[in-house]
Amino acid sequence: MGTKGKRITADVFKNILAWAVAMLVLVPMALIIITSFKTDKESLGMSLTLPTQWVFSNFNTVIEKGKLAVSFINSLLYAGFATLLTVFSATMSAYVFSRRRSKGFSILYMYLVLGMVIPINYVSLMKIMQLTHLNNTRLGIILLYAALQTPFTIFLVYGFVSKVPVELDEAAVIDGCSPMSLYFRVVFPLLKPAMVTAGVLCFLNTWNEFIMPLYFLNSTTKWPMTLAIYNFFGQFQRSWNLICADVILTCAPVVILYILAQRFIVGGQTAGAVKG
Amino acid sequence: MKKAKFYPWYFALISLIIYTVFSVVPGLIGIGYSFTDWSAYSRELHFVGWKNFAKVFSGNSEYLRYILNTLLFTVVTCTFKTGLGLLFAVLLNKGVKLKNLHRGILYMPSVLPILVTGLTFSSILNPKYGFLNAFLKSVGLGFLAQKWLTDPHIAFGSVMAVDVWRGTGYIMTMLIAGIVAISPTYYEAASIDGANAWQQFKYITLPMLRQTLAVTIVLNVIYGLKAFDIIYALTNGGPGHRTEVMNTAVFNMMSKGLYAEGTTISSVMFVFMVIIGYFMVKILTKDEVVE
Amino acid sequence: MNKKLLAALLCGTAAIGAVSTCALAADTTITLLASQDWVYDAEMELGEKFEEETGIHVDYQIIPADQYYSVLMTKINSGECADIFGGQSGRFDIVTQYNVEENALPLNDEEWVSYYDEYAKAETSVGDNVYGMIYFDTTTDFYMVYNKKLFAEAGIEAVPTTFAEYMEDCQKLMDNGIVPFYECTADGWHHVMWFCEIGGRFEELEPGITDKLNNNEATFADTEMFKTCLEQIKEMADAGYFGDNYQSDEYAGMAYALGSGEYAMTMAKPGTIAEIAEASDGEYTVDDFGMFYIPTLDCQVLNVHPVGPTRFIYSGAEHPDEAKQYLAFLARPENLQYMIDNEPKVENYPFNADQTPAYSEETRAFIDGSESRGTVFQDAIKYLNPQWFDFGQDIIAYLNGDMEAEEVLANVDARRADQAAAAGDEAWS
Repeated sequence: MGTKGKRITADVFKNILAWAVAMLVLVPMALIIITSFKTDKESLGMSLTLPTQWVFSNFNTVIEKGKLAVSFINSLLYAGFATLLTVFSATMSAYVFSRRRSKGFSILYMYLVLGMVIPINYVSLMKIMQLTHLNNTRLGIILLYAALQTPFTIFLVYGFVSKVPVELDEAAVIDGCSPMSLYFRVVFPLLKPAMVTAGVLCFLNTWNEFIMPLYFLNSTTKWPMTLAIYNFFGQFQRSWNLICADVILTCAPVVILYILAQRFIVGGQTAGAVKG
Repeated sequence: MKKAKFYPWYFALISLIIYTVFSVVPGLIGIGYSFTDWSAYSRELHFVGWKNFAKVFSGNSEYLRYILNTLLFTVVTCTFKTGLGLLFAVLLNKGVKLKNLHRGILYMPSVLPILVTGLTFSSILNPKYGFLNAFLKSVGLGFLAQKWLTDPHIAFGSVMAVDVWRGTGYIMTMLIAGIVAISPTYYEAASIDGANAWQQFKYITLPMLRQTLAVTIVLNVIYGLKAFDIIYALTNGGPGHRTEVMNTAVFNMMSKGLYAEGTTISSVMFVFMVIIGYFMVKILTKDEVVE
Repeated sequence: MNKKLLAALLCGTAAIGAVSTCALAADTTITLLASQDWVYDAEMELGEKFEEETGIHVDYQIIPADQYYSVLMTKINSGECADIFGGQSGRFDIVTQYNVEENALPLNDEEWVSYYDEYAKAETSVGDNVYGMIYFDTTTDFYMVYNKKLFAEAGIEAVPTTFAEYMEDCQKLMDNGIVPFYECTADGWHHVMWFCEIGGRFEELEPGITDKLNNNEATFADTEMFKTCLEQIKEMADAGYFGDNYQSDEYAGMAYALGSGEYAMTMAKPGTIAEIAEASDGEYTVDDFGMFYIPTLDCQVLNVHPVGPTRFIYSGAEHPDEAKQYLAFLARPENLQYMIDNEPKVENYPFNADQTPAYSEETRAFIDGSESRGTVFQDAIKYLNPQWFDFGQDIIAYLNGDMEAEEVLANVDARRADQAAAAGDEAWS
């Protein structure tokens, strides 16, 4: 067998392996999709057998009983605003830290990025939330999410900002730009791709989080989708068809966002990691 | 130009305030509370010195086991995610049709809410009704069927496996970006010199990926030490206490209303993470250019 | 549906503008926090009627059972709880666990208190103040429920009266291809009943043990019978009498499991029998099931459990008056009757409102036929009920060989001591 033959065999093998691995991911997803169309009885054990009777109304049931409309709006609100706030503030911070590397600023940068590591103390966070009257408010959750996402976002954007040549700043300064206009007119536009990446990741993480609202939001009318599904699971533990339908509706927004923004995630995410 | 003027410190103000108030201050207050008898059962707070720390660490093997579990979880998931991630990254680099589709598929689990992943797998891994055992039986591998989440010897492995399922695509994606960034000229030169695929991987890919790998490992370790959602959703620390880790233990303390003890464990973790975090962040923020 | 969606969208848009609170269409919304299985569908139907009548919407927040207390306690201690919260009652626990004097509103002036069962009142009061309304069928308790047909097929003529007989019967059922007992430990609470429910038997075997435990003069670890009881649970599990899936089985699956004829017994409330019959698709009727005493330690004492899931009104409630109104609505005689008629699990409520209980002949005969009665341990013993789930988790560790019976009991003692100390109990100081 020649080199070429060898390569073809290797490629065939590679393709088979790739599909085998993909199946590991696809099968659980297929299970959820198929089960979501089954009747209550049929859905007891999730299986790949197609439903004998397609029950499309599961989705309606879930939307109504699972309070999905309200929680969808909530999720959108929390993830949306937290993302805007985080990306806006973190980008400015990353910019300053990347440009000023004095000892003091390096320590501050370190202090912020350390946030990626330190665990949240929920018990005492509760005290803070009460003290600031932010407990059980939408604003509180948005701020919490912003706090949670800020360190990673700064870390991510920092890598990008470093690549924006300082010469640009200098030229702008000579042209008479103020600090504000230097940032918003010159640097900000160049950071757009970085912000999209950071924004998408921030949005995904925030959409998927559920512990914060579990503790800090009381009324179900304020619950985001992840918590709604948790509540739903509590009530309909046996009805896997409904749970699966709920799962699909909860995941759909992030999956769609992911598909649309895939190239930003894959391309941008590692910019911080792969420097140079 | 004057840096102080054109890169004013107040640009960082919003981030600093939000982060300090909601992440750092609770951590610090928590340390304060761990010297008190704060609990759900009385309104008054008393200073109790090191009592809580003594209780948490006084040869009570339970906590020691939770710490070991946390470390085990971190090491195992990190190893598998990095190993498999690297394997898939190399595999899906060339010679695979539809490689972008494959990459997309593998990344998908890390996009889904961890809670949802947990719920889904709690059904798939149910010994009686679950898909996995049914599948194994249908292909004649019934002897492999297990009580995945309730057999004390297997449960922790299952939890870690689900977490690897969830997180490998993410690591793979980062590594792919690292591999793509390696200049093809290296490989061309190597093939001219007659290096085989393994040699190319060993002498070019791996060294060039060092920084990326360091970052992924650090991210994995951070994630592992803080692991909570996936365990909470799958086993909630059971069967018995087999899959209990630090964070689920804190959670349990809170549920019993023993806030001081809960916050003591939290605080120990806080200090520990700040110390190791310092070194990790050093690795993450290393400015070395890899090329 | 479209209307609702539109309302939600409008709400959302408004909120986007102000990031402020979003009020739903209803005038007022009261929130009710409860564990899984505490709010029946029939109650939600009543909730809708309540809204029609008063314009007050009830927002039910249901939390999975094994997480319930962590969520509840965090919320109570944060000073931000739902208007109405659910919790187990018990004269000791409502003080030590929820601190109702601080966290709940006294309900003495409510009309339903006048026809509230005396025992129920005692278990939900501190001093002269009533703090909670038991909204659970505490007139019966969990008993052994068995399938008469399957027993007959296995050649079992009479229900077991000792643990040894019970084990023999289990073996006969096993030999007949039937899983003897539907145990479901996945929710974390069901299996603890083998131990706690036989409080009457404990007291019979060692008179005075209740007081001794409550005065800190005896411990669980040093009392032999407690260890024996745990060992008996392990014996059943090890013999395979719970089936091999019991640690993944859930309470919610009980009716199906017994209705399918795969399992011969379980421990359940009498009302469950109707559900089992319904889930059997005509295979069985309610007459095919009977009851007997929980057989651990040869118990022949009818367990009495005047305590159950209770509704409290949070002292910091946003809408205390509306919450009171809702409880009053539930306690109306016609609505108590509605629950009894529509929810199989409820045969009666601890109220004397001239309601007609839905006891079956079988239940009546079983309860009336008991010679001695004894209060279950979670009611009789201080600081035991709050650690129910921890105890349960330890028992699982013991069943799996990760812990010794002595350790499990020592942990119970340790947790009781912790709580007693936190509550400033003099017997422990």
